[in-house]
Amino acid sequence: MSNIAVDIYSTLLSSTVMICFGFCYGITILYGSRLVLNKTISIGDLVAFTGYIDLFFTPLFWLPGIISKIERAIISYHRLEKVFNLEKENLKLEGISNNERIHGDISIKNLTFNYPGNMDIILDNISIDIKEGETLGIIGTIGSGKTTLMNLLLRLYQVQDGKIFINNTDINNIELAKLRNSVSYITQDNFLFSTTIKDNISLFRENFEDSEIEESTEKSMISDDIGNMKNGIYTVIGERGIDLSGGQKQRVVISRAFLNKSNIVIFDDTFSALDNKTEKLLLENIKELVKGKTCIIISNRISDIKDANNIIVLDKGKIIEQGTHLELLKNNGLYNKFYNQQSSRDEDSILN
Amino acid sequence: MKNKTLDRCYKIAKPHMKTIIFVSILSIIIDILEITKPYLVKVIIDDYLTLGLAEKGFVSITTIGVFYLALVIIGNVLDYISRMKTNIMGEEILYTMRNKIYKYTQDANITFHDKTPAGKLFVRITNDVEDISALFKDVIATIFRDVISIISIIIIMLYFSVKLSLLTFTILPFVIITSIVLTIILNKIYDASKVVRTNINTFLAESIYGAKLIKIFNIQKEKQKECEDLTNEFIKTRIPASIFEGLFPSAMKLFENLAITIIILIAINNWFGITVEVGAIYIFVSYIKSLFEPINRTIDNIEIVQEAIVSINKIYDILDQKEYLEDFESGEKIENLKGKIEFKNVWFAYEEDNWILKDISFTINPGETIALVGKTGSGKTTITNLVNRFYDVQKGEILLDGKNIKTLNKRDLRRHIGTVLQDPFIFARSIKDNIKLNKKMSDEDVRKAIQMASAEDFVNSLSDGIEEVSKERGESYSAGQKQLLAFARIFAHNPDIFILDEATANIDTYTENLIQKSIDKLSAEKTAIFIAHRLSTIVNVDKIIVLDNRNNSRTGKSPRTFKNWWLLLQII
Repeated sequence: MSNIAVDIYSTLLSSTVMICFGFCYGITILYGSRLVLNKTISIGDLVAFTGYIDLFFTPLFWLPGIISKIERAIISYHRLEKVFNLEKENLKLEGISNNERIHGDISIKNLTFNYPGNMDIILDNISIDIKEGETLGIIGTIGSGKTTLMNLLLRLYQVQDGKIFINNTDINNIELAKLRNSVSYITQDNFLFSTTIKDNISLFRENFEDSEIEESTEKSMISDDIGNMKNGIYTVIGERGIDLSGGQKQRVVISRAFLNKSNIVIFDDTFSALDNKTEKLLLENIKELVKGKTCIIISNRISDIKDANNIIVLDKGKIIEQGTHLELLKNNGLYNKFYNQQSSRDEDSILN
Repeated sequence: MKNKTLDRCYKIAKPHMKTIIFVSILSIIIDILEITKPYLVKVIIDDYLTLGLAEKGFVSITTIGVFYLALVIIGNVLDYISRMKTNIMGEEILYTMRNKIYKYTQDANITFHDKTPAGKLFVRITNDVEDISALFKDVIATIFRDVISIISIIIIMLYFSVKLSLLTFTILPFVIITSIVLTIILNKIYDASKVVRTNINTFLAESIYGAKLIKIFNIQKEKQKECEDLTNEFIKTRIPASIFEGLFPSAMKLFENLAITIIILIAINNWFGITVEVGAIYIFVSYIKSLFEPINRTIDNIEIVQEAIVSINKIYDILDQKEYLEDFESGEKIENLKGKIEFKNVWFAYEEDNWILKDISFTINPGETIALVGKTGSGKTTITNLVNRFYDVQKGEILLDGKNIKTLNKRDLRRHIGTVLQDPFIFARSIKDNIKLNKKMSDEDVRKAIQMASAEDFVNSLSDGIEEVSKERGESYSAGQKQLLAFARIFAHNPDIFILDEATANIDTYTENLIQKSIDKLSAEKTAIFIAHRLSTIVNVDKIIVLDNRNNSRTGKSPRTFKNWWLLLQII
């Protein structure tokens, strides 16, 4: 109902109450006067009676206001109820919470996925095995499902039982908090809160020393930039502070991976705004970081993933090629095509 | 300060003066009718009932009764009309104020948006505007009426009995002092709670936007705590408010009953030599009640007035910042653009003295394709911001076809420049609307642009094709798909100058090559600026401009030799 309509109805209601009151009062006086003249009641009785009419109507005067408040409250309650009734993520109660550390063995078996409410198949029969300590590279065409696959690994969307396993346990049976704590997923959207750099890296968790945070900024090649800022890691960025460039944002976000001691580290196209030199140094640091851990690197650039133990090539939700860099080159498929196109414009080839 | 607030209120009220005057006149009439009612009852009691008469001359009790009922009906009809008028006025003010502030946010330059958190603007556009509307809806009409009521009741009471009235009025100083003290206290509290409310909104906007990140890093608990802390802070400011708000009506009821008690005691005991008729007691008690009704309402209204004043000032503090408004009307119109861009000794800093660009000079000739390379943070994106005049340079000048861009019409300037950013913004509209951006073009043109951007496969895979509606901020699409749409946008609008700012970062090599071909075709005769941090994207350009960390720029031809490339690599 439009605001004006609500106004009209509630004003009409209160006017009606007022008119009723006036009539009641008037008729009481008229009829009461008769009774006084007949000596059935005294003047005092009449005055007292009018007083009671007053008392009787006072709450009625509030009625229109109360009704419209109740109306609004009911509508608001129904809206909230709709939100509350949405399926919630269950962080704690569900699944096995074994106290043992989550190792990085990841295994995906015949996974097919479409987003809820949309029949388009995003991932089609995906099977991957990653052993702890290995690095998996993912390359693929636009919209081939790279990011979706990572979202599923962190249970941002629900998958069927028996599809994704970490540590040989179905991820649906792992406590959600535990699952997410054991994965550092660096997304491609560079989301930063408008707060200090420190809070953006530690993400408001208070159990980190400043020195640990500074160390992580060194590893992610952003410490020089931060050093140039007046307040160092306490510099406020974003809406309420200074604006960082695309590449600086990306490196602040990457610092999170160095700070977290997770066993699984995922970089989702997070080097796209970095220059070659910085990227090379950063990749060295990442290699150091993921020693003994499981790592997944998604990138459009061969140079980021060529050293991975295993590389998968995704196209339209399907794995079309799989193997090491050298194996894939021999395959003469999409990977080889990417490689040729990139190497023709590669620095080394330009220099040669 | 006070005058400024009054000025601002007047500015809002001015277009509605007719309504306000009309409603005020109605109020006076309604008041007179209201005040007459107890008098009629008094007449019935004193002139008829105490004397035991049913009629006196031509006037009977019934006549007076019918007259009374007539007053009730007329009074309420007028009251209804006056309330309708004020309600509609309130809605109109809500509409104009909301559009005004929204328009300001659209006309304001980037500096304004850099400085003002979105959450704060949401509060201005929603809650604050409603507070102002409430002022005009609930207060403006009643406040005249209540003031008139109070004055006229006092006069009538004096008319009936000066002594009795003066004795009753001894209670008024207490009423006034209590009101003033409580108002001052509440004023402070409302100010404080508004600040917290704004902070809560800013916090909420950001955490909802960052929901995915919060989940991935499992920091719901930390965020929940922050939310609870903020809400607690808000409640802490509201508790004293409730205490004092609650005090008001109780205190007033107490004063009202005290006044009535005084009247009755005096009348019964004949104190101060006052003798009163029964009807006069009745009328005095009625008028005291009628006197306190507007007093109570005025006090209730004070909260609305306070809140509205805070909101009016907050909104006008924004609206009056004319320095942030962009001027799209003045300036020389751009007819035919050749596309020559010159930077002459340009100095620029976002914040004072923190120079991002120091004495940068370069020339891009019409039809040239140049690359802007340099480390992250070296000012590449800043240069695109300056060419679009999102910011003005502090020293030096930027020339377009030999004319300082400050002298050119801003709307025209931006129309002729097409920029593709690394993280393009997608509206929650259809693919078609996202490409057209309110410009008139046929579906055919849209499809052509999609084809040029190599986005055909992607768009065809959507069940509704170009009519498919995106989720908020393009969340239904991957980063690469969003970049493809941004390219389609540029191809559809066909500007004279292209700026591609890391525009292919999330696009696979194969698709990138396809887009490159379209760009080459289109930019053959147009000026194009490629921003890149990688040499691979810039091999075929005419010229390279290198920005280094020391905020210097060098211009050179695209290197053809190994030696030159190697030198270039050393710089960046």
